[in-house]
Amino acid sequence: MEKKIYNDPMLADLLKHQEISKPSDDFTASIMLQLDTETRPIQKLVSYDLNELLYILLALAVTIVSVLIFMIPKFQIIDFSRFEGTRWIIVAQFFQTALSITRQFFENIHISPLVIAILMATVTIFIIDRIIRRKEISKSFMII
Amino acid sequence: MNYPGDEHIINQVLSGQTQAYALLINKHKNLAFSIALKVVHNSEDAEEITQDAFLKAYKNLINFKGTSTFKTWLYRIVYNTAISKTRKKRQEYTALDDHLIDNYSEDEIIENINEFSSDDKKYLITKILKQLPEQEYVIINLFYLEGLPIEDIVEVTGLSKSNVKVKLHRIRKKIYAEFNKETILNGYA
Repeated sequence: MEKKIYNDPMLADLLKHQEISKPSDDFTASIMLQLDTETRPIQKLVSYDLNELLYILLALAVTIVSVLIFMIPKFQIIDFSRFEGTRWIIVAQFFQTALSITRQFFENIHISPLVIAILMATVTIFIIDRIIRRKEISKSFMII
Repeated sequence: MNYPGDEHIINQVLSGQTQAYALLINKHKNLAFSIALKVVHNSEDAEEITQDAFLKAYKNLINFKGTSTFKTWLYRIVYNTAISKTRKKRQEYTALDDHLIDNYSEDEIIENINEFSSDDKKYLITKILKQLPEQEYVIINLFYLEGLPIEDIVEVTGLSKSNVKVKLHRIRKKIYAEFNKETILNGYA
């Protein structure tokens, strides 16, 4: 699109006429000589992207939380008595209370909790994506 | 000389054929060197910067994701290395006359340029480009000479897309205005 807007074969032709400065004749040879002392870049045999793994884990976490909050309608009636006397009872009770409060909160404000969960998940993934992208760009272009 | 595609060469290098990297160097060294030279104004420094950029690119070839072209990536490294080297000693330029920019008929000047001899074109465009600040020189050459899309120029220069567009428009007008001035003052064509 931009090409059409700025299309100017005359200027492109003029620029071809410019005197382009060239490096010395042994330029390439000199770099190749230096490369001999460098470690060879080797292609990864198994190519997996750490970012993709992160996205999968994040999506899995969001799904699990959503299931806990929305898919178990009567979370309160789950019997934790068999954990009595262990430290797990405290964790389980904490989650039970937290999830009940969250559920109640969503029910009171009359907005579909699922919509809120989806929005929260989207925003979280977006923020993480931006952070990763920024890191990738600076690494890839070596901003000095 | 016809070179294979950059992606093909990169794959060769990554699969162990280090010597293939010489093809990439030969393919891109001239413009990379010109960019560095435009920024640092010294052949020795420019050559050092360009060599440094090719070495950096080699060492990080494994990190090259192919989200942009290799030349965009390389020119960005060259430009940044050169800029960081000269950050403390900025160059002064004889600015082109901005007031001349809107004061000519484009059709008329294009018609005149068509009449120029090849030597005159070479002399004038080289002279005009020398007067451009390094950023404008890089933008105009990458777009019109190298055919890089605006998105890639944004990556090389770090400017916004709209800024690159505005600059392209201005530089193009500046160059024609200078041609117009030279035609009038020195009676070219």
